[in-house]
Amino acid sequence: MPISKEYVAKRLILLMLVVIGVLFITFIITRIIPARPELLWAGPHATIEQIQKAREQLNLDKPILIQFILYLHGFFQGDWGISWRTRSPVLIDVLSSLTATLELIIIAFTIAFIIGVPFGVLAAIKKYTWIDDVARIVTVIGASMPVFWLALIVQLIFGTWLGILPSAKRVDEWVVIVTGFKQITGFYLIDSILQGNHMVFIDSLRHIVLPALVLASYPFCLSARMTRAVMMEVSTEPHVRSLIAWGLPQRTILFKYSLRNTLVPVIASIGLSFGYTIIGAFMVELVFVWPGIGYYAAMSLLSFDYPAVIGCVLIVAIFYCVINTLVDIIHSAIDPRVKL
Amino acid sequence: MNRQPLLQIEDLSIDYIIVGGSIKAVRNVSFSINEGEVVCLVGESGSGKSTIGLAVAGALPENAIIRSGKIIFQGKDLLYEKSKNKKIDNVMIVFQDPAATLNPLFTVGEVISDVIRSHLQIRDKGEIREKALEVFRMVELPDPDRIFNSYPHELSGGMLQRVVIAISLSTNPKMLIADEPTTMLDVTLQAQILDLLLNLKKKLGLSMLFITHNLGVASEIGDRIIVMYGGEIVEEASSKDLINNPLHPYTKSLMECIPRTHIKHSRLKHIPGTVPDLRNPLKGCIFSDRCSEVMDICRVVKPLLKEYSKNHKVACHLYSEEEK
Repeated sequence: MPISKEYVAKRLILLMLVVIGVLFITFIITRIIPARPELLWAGPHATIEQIQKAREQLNLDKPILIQFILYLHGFFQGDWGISWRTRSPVLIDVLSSLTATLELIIIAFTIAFIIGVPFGVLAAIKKYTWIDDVARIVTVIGASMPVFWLALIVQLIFGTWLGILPSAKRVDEWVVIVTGFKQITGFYLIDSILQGNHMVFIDSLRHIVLPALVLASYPFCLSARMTRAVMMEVSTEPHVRSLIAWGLPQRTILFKYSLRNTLVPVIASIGLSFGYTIIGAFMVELVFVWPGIGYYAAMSLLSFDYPAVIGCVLIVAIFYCVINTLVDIIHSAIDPRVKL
Repeated sequence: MNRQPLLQIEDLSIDYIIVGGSIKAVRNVSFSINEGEVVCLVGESGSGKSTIGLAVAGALPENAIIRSGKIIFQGKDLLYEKSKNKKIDNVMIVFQDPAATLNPLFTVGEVISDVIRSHLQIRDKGEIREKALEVFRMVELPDPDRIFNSYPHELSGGMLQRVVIAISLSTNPKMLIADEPTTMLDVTLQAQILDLLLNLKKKLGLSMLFITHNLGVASEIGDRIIVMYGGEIVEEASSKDLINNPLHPYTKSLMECIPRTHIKHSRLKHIPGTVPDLRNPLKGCIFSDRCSEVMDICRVVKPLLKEYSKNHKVACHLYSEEEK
């Protein structure tokens, strides 16, 4: 897996361009919406002078380009502005909610990939049988079901009717207080293991099950359907036919050779949908009151909290670039023809 | 030659199932190959020659159905053995496009090791590698160690075809099926690969079923040539007989299609018409609608493959009357 310096440089430059471009676009859009955020900043019952002062404090009285340059100046020093809603630095807000989201989608994608790919392989091997039909029905339903609806349904079934799993938040407050749990990395599952705190571990595991399963439904269906389609295509290719002709056992052909050929495009598309899912997590996080970036972004949008909105958009953009790079690296690890 | 033939194909018919019907790609084909003999199957694309090769190698696509016939190799029915999932060590195949034949994600060494491991009872990695390097040397590959660790995209077309031949030889086969092994290569490489195959044949006593659309190549390498048209054998003879005295109108027109450089200003010839539609093969002679010497009987009665002279068979009404 050789990675050249040119590749690293190219990726870094690209990242910079994306960051500046995204900043510019979101900044302009948030400023031309006539929302008068200074009213929010100044609070209710503010006098005209206070509102005027808030305008000056937020630089809203200056031309947009000047505002943008001032923002950029602060941005590259790590000052992403103060959230008008929470009154804490956006960078800190965004990073702390990002870990909550990452914990959720990493688990969701692991489930999706680990179950989805074998599911697709099975459907491809047993094509045109009832197994294939069942797989197709399941994946079509799963892929076309709106996430928020599915979220509500599982909440109703597992949370309300059966009452076996919690359907909101990352962890129960009282467990945290009773056990004296502290955040280290921001990933509760990891933190609780680090602290040997099995109560928090089990509790946060119970909390993550439902949102992770709901979030996993789409990438699961995607990977299963992709795997089946690509696998069937690969199995007709000359290099597979030649292995059959040379008398290799079917197991070897399938699981050593064809599977690897199949994984190349599947990983690419799953990886890209991983980047996309950070947005898809909006709905899931809202329904499950999961304090992640989607929840944070939604709340910021609803309260015209523009520095926070820009921060969220930016994090998503950076995340997307990073995922793209990772997909490239994984791709080059599987496919020797790809040199980075 | 009174010996039992190494490979005997009897009354083989193969259909491809397609949407809305089936293509009768091979119909009632019978021929045999003796030990140490090179038999060439010659015909246009769609004549069913590759299908026969794949059937013998046991690598027909999933939509192919063997309607009838037997493929007997060393006294065993290959179709029966294959249905019992038994490994067939003694027949190996070399395909047309070496770059597509090898999986791009795996080193050449990995593939050949798996082939050796699954056929020969060798488990030891070093031993497998030794065997692989041995066949690499046999096909005159330079620097076998490096090639063992190379990916297909790192090797040239000629080297790849040698690698593919090496893989086919790694199981010590008695017979090699070569499905247009030189078609994708440029002319100088074609000659090298043909030479290599002939040398291997001599050295190892290999029999070969050599599939090609090129009569010139066939006459160079083949002991015997079988001409196929539209899924049927139309003529079968020793290479010399066939080239010097082609009988079937199709063979004759194929010969005329070979470009000749010594006749100046001659136009390239071609056979008028197109390959027959094998969803509904013609009732009479399959070549009748393109034949320049077509008679009334040709459109109604299918000519059978009959001996015209010793070791020269032809399926054409022109000869069936004259002789008797």
